[in-house]
Amino acid sequence: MITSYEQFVPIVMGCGSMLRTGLKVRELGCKKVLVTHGKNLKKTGYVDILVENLESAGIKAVCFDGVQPDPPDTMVEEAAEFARKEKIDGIVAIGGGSSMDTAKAINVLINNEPPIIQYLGVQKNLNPGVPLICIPTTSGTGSEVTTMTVITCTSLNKKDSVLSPVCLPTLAILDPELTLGLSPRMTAITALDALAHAVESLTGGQANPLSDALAREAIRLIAKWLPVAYNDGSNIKARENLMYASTFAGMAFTNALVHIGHSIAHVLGAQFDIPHGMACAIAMPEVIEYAAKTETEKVKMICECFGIEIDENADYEIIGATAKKTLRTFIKSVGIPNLKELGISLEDTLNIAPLVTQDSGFAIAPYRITASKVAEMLKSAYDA
Amino acid sequence: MWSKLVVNMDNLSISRVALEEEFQDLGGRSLIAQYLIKNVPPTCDPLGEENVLLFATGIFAGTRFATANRLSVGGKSPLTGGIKESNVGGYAATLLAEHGIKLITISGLPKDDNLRILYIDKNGNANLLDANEYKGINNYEFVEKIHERFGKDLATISIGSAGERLYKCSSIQVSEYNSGHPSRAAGRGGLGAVMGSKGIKGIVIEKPEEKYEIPYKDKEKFEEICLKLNRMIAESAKKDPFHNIGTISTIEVTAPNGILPVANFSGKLFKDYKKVGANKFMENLKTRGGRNKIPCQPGCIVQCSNCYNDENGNYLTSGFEYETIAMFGPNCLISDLDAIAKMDRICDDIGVDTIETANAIAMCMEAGKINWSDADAVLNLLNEMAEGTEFGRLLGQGCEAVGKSLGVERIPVVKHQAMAAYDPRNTKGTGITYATSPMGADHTAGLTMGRAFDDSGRTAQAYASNKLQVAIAFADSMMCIMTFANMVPGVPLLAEMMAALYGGSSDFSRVASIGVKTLLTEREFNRRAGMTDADDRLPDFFYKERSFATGSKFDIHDMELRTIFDF
Ligand code: SF4
Ligand SMILES: [Fe+2]
Repeated sequence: MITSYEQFVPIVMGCGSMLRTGLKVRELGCKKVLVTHGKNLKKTGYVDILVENLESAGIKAVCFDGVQPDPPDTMVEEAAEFARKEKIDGIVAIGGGSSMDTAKAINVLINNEPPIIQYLGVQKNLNPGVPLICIPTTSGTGSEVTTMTVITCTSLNKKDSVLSPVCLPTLAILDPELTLGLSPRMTAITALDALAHAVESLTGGQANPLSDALAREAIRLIAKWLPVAYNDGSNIKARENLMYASTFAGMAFTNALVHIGHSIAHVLGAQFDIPHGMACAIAMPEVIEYAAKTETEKVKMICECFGIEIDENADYEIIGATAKKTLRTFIKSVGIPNLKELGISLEDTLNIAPLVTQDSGFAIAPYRITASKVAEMLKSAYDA
Repeated sequence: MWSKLVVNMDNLSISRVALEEEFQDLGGRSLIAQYLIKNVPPTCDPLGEENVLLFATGIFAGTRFATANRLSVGGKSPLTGGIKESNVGGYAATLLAEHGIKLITISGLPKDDNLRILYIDKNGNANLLDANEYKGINNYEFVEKIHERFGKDLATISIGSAGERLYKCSSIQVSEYNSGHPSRAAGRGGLGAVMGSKGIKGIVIEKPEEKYEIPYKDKEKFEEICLKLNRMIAESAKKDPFHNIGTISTIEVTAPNGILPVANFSGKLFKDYKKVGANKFMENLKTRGGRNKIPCQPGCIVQCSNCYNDENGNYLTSGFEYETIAMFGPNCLISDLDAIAKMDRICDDIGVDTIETANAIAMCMEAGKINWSDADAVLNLLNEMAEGTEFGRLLGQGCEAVGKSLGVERIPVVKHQAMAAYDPRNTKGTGITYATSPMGADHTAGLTMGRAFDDSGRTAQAYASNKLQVAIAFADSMMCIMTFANMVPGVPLLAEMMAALYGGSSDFSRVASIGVKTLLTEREFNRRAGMTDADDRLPDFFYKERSFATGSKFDIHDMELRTIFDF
């Protein structure tokens, strides 16, 4: 099998690295940048520090503080309009996935006409944007190193992505201290999103040796450090390792892509308003069990990353069952409820199966499965 | 009500009856699949009396929808031993629709050796006429004689000497609109031999005096959507290389990427491809009074057909297509476009599939029977086919028969049918289509080139193949796929058009389920005919040998092939 690893974002990393932003942005030749963030982040004080840091390096900063979760197309178009009017020559995103994805969508629209929905899917010929710097404040999405931005199409009421080099950040700044304030719940949800990126990219059709290495390391780090950070949010070592894990997983999946686990998560998110990372975790054990049939070696690796020894003669069924059990135990240990506990009926759960098969992630699945097979997976996850 | 022309060769009877209610809103490939599974035993001898040869018009036949008048030919294939639908342009389907005929079934075997013509006159009367005087003549001469005898206001469907000799690679040739040349081929799967076995030399359809009135449910609505789609197609066609050049333009994409087969799918690149490329083709058209942008059927706006003249400006061939050029050209290391055009002409004339035949010729080169690049030797072999020499008859049995007989190991067939002009290692989704299409290695069943992430990678190939195989299965039931490719954003409107024509649901699932049901029915026919999982695989050498152009093997997991039609 011939594969390739293509996307790479330069990274500055380490505690306190957010304070490098001003110098780095100046090196990139920017004079006036747009800072994107959500309203809540303002309260932490990080935004003010960032703006001050930029200004002290001689860079003008204007803020777009209207970032909403699951960025709607209407919101990013409004932000892009603002960015164009302000004639900015760089964008700095600070926050979780929504802030970074908003910044990416703005960058798409800087030199390409709106509406954004016309650019959904893989875009090879978009006009380039401006330098884009991403500073994550959660350890989950990996958006700081990926080529995609997930947008909610308000007219169609569904999420879809733009995949383009214009969405690839120019620089990522990983400052683990920014995640110290995250609640245990948010810590778990975001880290499980990263875990989903890692296990799905390891088992997807586009996996390659480099993305595999990154994914394996991400799994190892999350297996070891999520329980620590979940129980003690102030443990900076755990925070550091989770942040690097989420970036490794992001690097893995921007190359290797994610598949059915994310298809299920997209539909669960849209139908029942379940946060993305939680939705990714709910049927992850079943998805990996399914993948074991063709990606047997990879699923074995997942078990090993969790410290489980697999017998040399184990067949795919044993390996799949072991992975399923291991992942489920882990997910439950960090307080993730199942669908039943979330108060969703079994009937409603099973009804989403056909929608799952329509998600674009299905294109990348290791092998084709039917809606009824997806329903079986959901049923297994329902009260597990 | 659409009618069905039932021809029984056992007792030489013909009757015209109403088409069954359940088939009324089907057409083309979908109609053929449903008819065959209900009426033909899958284990029958394809050249025996139980096989039925079918000619079906499409779901939108007779309407103003662009390329609605494509003709589907069906039956059990003597080549693959499975179900076969081979569709073709030309004038015949337009006239059948004007007669109100949606389906012709030809069953049984005649008790004598006589050849016959099925003649449908301008009043819609159908008769079997004696055709012994045409015995052994080829398609061009046949059409000429028919024009002399009956005039030119008609369409012909005919077989050449190959079909009479029951060659498994024989085609059924349909006359092109305007020119009348028998250059449009229902080529794949050897249906010409089925026609030959029934003793039918040709079908001649006169233009009717009175056109069949189509019973639209809502004509106004239909015309409105139809106009919208036709406009979309016309607009898109302006930028379509198939319109501006012809299907030969494909070579400019496939040759540089290792998709173009070279020297019997060696996986190498062909340096000289420009000699058989789009520019050379256009230059020859221009300097010799040839033409492109020809509609093979009335009302086609894509107009991918052409008329190709020789050095002296005399007509040589038409409907000169990429597949023919690629398979007789680079795949045989031949870079002489005129020689290839002559090969195309001979194939059309004697009535054989150019893809199957060119692959059989490549077997002769691989085995050392003739030299690579030797166009004269190829022309000689084609003449042997025309004359019916012993080796010529072997060639007529197709690529696999020739390869096996000459001891060749690398035989590029699936379900005994030779591959078209795409190397499955470098467009893996197309390889998946080759492997899993109920038709055998077929290029029109779902060509994924450019639709997955990386043509020579694994990701999304099975997905793309599945989506396309479904889309093509319904497109083959209603139009020409070269036109279909120009109306992709309008695909949901096809369901609305069906509703306006036949009534019923206007939901897109109606159209999609035609595709799914057709594929599943075809697979079921093949299963009952004895095909298994093992028939859904590529020949071994694509799994073992690297393409030299890309280093790629066909490394698709069996599970992806096994699950491709899980709906
Ligand atoms: S697109 Fe080409 S093959 Fe199709 S109907 Fe038109 S001329 Fe004929
Ligand atoms: Fe995710």
